[in-house]
Amino acid sequence: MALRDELNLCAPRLCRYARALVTGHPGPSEIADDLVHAVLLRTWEAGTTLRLDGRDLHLHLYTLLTEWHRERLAAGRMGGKAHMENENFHAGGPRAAGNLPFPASPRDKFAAALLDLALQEREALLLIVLEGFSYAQAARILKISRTVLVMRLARARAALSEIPAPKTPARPAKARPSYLRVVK
Amino acid sequence: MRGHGPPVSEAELHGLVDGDMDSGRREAVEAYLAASPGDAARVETWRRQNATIRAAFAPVETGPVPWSLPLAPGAEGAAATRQAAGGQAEASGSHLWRGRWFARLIGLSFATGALLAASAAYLAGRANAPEAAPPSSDGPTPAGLNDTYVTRALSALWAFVPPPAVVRHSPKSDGPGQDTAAPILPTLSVEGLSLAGVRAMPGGQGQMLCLIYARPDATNIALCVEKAGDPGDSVPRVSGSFPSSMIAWRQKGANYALTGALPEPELRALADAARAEVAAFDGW
Repeated sequence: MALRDELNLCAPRLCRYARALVTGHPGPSEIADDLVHAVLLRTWEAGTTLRLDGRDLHLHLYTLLTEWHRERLAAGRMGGKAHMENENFHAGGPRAAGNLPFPASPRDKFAAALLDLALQEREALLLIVLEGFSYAQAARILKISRTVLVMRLARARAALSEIPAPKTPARPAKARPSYLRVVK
Repeated sequence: MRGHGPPVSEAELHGLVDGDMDSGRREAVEAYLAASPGDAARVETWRRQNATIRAAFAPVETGPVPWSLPLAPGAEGAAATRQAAGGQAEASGSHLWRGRWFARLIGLSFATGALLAASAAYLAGRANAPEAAPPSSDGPTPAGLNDTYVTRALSALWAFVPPPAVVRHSPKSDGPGQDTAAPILPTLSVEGLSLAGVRAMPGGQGQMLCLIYARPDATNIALCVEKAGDPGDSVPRVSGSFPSSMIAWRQKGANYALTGALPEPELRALADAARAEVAAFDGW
């Protein structure tokens, strides 16, 4: 399968992970979507030299996205003028710092519960639960041991307790595929 | 945690929920949970968490991705990469970036239309041409290097968005069984130029290949080659005017056209370099 086809296949799942990581909800997020776009572009640019395919490509995409998200948060903290967009720029979440009122709707509560997790715990939880990676794969993406991964997962689950179920947004009438431009 | 056999660890409880455990331990863990209502309740809570999270984000996977991926790693792609990596966190940059892509896509749509129109005109011209055109190796105007060819070559440049893949263009890559009648593609190894990609388009004698070179000032140059219908070489001839000028010539059985937003002297210098490379080609 050509690299662009594989990237196209990965794009929706990568988008899902990015949105969950960045905003805690499935709705559109400029930051998350731009991150995904940038990761796909970078991988496409480096595709011929990386020679990744299948599972390795998948792991590479998630590794890159996770790292860039961390770097982005770090840059936001240092710059002091980051665009928030419901994003958790603090390890314990904005609510942990007592800055935001507790949201009312189930969707907001759900997002808030995810964002209240420390970033490392959120990453571990989302990679395992949402993206379905094995412990070994998730540990590889996060560059940690399996033991540390399980510890983060356990902390995340303990913190979440009974996570409120959100109302999922209505699905679009017709799903349009995403395309990579091809020059031929 | 103790049940039947070896102690059940916290990690194994998580592994049971996430489907990541040795199959040989599953029974032992389940037996342990049957005897430990507290831990069984925790495991059930984790399962509900998993189901809630998966259900919440299911629409993203099946819904439309909110962008068309141009995957053109030009300046915009690099800028977007840097931006997303955390260099600049302002949303305004993101809007600008998306806007540029949108504008580019519109431009590409128009360019594609122009390309199709030019191709249609060219094909019509070919259909009306006499079957046996006389050789024109003696004249300064190469046969086949008409305005349509100019248009096609120009359109290759207009519609081009450089892909990242480096394309092997040396005839050496074809190996010993190469078609010796194939047009020679010069590498145009002039300082400051880098090969950004190749476009293949319908041509008068089969496919026309256009090598797209990127200049340091972000402008592109196209060197297009197609098999010539007529034998013999011709001198380079300039057509059009800046910034849509083009130099075309016939050499070693192929029509060449070089185009780009360059002043004529620079374009001529590049054409001379290309001609020299074609002339020096020894066929390997």
